[in-house]
Amino acid sequence: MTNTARTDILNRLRKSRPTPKDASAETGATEPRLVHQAESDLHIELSKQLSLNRAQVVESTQLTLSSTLAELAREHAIRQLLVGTHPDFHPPCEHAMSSVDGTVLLYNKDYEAQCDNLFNEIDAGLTSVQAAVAETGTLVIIPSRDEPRMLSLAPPIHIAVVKSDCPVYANLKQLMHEPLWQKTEMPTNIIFVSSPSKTADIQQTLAYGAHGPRHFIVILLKD
Amino acid sequence: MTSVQPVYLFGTCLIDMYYPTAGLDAAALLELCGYQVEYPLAQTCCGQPAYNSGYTKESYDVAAHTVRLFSQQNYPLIVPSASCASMIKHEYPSLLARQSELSRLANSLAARTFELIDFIADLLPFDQLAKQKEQTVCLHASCSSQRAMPVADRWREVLSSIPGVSLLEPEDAAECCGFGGTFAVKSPVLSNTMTKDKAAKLLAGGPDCIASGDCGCLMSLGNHIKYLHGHDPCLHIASILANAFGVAHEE
Amino acid sequence: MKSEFDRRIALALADQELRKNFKGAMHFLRDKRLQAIGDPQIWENMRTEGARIRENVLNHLPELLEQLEANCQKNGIQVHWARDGDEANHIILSIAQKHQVRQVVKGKSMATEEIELNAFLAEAGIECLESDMGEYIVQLADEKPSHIIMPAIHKNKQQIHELFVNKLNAQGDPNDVDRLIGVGRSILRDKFRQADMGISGVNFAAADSGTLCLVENEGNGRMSTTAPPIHVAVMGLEKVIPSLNTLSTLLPLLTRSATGQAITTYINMISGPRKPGERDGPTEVHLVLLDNGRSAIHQDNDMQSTLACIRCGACMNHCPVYTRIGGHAYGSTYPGPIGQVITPQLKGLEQNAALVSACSLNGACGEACPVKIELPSLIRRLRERVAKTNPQNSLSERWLWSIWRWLNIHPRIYHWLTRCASWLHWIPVAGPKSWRKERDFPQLAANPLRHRMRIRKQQTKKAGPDD
Repeated sequence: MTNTARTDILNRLRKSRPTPKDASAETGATEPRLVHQAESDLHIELSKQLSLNRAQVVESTQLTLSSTLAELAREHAIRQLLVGTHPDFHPPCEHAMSSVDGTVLLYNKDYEAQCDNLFNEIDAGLTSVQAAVAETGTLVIIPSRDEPRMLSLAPPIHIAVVKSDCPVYANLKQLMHEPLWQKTEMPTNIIFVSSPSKTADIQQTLAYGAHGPRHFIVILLKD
Repeated sequence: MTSVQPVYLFGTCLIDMYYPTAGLDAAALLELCGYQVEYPLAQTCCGQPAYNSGYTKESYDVAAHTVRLFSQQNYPLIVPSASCASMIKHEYPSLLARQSELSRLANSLAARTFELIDFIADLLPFDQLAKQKEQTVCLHASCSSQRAMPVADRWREVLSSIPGVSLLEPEDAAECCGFGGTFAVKSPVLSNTMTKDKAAKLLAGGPDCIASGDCGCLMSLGNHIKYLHGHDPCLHIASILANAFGVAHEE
Repeated sequence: MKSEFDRRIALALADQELRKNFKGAMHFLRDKRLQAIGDPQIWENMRTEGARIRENVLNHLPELLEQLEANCQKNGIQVHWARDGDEANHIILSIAQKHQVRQVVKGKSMATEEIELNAFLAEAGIECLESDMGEYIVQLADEKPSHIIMPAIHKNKQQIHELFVNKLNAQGDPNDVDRLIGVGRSILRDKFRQADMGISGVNFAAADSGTLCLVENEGNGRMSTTAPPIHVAVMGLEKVIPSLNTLSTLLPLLTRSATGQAITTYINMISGPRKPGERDGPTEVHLVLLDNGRSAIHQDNDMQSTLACIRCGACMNHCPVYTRIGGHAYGSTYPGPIGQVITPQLKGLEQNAALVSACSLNGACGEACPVKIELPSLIRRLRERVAKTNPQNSLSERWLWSIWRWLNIHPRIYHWLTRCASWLHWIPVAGPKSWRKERDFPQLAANPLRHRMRIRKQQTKKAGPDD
């Protein structure tokens, strides 16, 4: 049945005459708003836009990361912090959580095996960030085996750590010109995150924490 | 005065039947600006009512009549309505495209079609105007004057150039007055609701008059306001200008 | 003669609370959009670019769909084609039955509203729960969305509070929106975990990478496409784009036009099911490509641009008619100007002739459209077809226009008649009774302009050469 449907639909679409106007190129003319900005400016803009989007932006360094995390854990009463299996952030997380009598949990089992935990026990999930867009205050997060999708979605707090070498683009257009987007083989999932989960579905009143994280904390690491 | 340039005046059907004074004032203003006004007596309607209602064939014949009439000379065609001007300028070329001779004439006419106020705004001798009586004028920028034939800023410009006039803008200035030609006939309840809302917003600032350059809107708003308050404060911008310059038609 | 639509219009106009809710909401959305679009010239360039991208898609639709299918399959996404709603519903049902699905959780999707999927699955004993807050509210109230972006826009917070008290026994402060959202959140978070299948719509599907792109603020779309073991995405076949590159134009156009945001909270790009070794995500992803009348629109050269729509809702937010009557009065899945154009094409012009009349052709929708669909022209073209073919269209109306035409090309008779009308004070264009109800009769001038211009000319001539 489906095959006939496919043939029928495609045949009908092929019968249409294309509109006479020329439409060859597919990308082009829009002016990027920020052109060739210095990297430091882009970081300032990113931080500003994220704050405007209601993210809590904290600056830190590789050395002070554990104390930053400890402070955040105290501020938000984080007792159980979920992290990916990539060891990069493990030492500072362990250090920070032990200083507040909390624990670090690893997302090292399949979702089905820990879904109760994920939805009900975990206070915060921590992820890395693969790229950022300054103009809109957007973080590009590519979930993987090491950092699964739910890490940034199910816990009520999402902590995203932007390393100092994380590429920051001026705008979407510049991001989309990067090789990742030209690749034919895509990661299973790519997420742009720009704010805490929110809704204005009740009388246009903005409310945070609709289904995903209520708090979106961005740690910008400097050298 | 041998170098007086002739222009065609297209009176439009609504001005012909309901607002002839606006038409006479338009003629007077054109003359004040140094033009000689030609008013071909065989003119009727631009065809827009049928066109907008989907009666394209009927509209085609009327448009063809209008195009032929105003193609006898190559004069600029001046229209005291943004809506009718837009019909001639923007719709005629595609409407009449299938017949090559008419298509040629329609394109030529479209190129020399102008909305009245837009055409004369820079030529009116505002510097010679003495201080006039103080009046507040609330502008209704018709939909055509904002979009298809964007002349609303010119309307604002001329009105605020009259000494003594203070110009008001209603809340939701960009919203339609609800007339919409045959929309008023086909969806009368919706049309009325929109007109009521618009009239209330136009009257909110207590203006001495409501001005526009489209008589469809003026008629719809005027009838409603007259029903409510017993008088019709709506005037065509041409009449306000003609009054200011002392060339208005005396009844 | 009065249509069902007319009756619903009258009901909506009489409902003061509804009118207040819509007026407030539309002003809010228009203002937010205006703030978000910023520099008008840059915005205009973006619209031009967006229109070009969408036009290009429509010109290459069959090739792009084949490419999308091939790349989705390469990514492990199972692709299905559905000629109509019934076929789509059966495809989804058979997927569900294969996996013994009892409970479905849904992300927001107008395509599934269009094919009435929820009701269909319910008949088969499968419960579909809407998880977008607005959709959840609407489903709880047993209603339909009144807006394609903000489904519960017709309700105010007091009404939603009452609904929650009645249906969920959730007491509390009616003005506390955070509390109301919290109620929905806690119920729905359980449902995401329990659901056997997630169903979503698709905002854009990139042909060259086989990627489904979902745009949202709440996170329910991510939940519905991540937590349940099966994900079924339903997409109108016009939503394909050549590549993710085009998103740098289309996304900002969509989010600014829809909710006045520079970007939404989440852009979720799905390029396949959970891969071996990955910890989460559905193990099966299905894409249902829905025709349901779209290929017919595509073949119709005059109307093809209907399919350029990216479903932002800006046309309804700017429509003076929608603002006054709201979405339900239209009686169709898609309300407002785009609905007035889509519905007659999908569901038949004859039954929906009244829809195309309810427009003053003011042009606000076309001006707001981020991909420059000339909605007023499309509405006018549909009127043309109504005039030509609709048998309901009264003979008297056709006669009137024939007479109108004849008079307007016979100026002597036309002018003789208008003069007679002036003398008799008989009004040819007075409008129907309901229009005249709150108006004074339009007064014909004592002498038409043509007559006075003739006299004026004679006087000028008499005045002699020195004038």
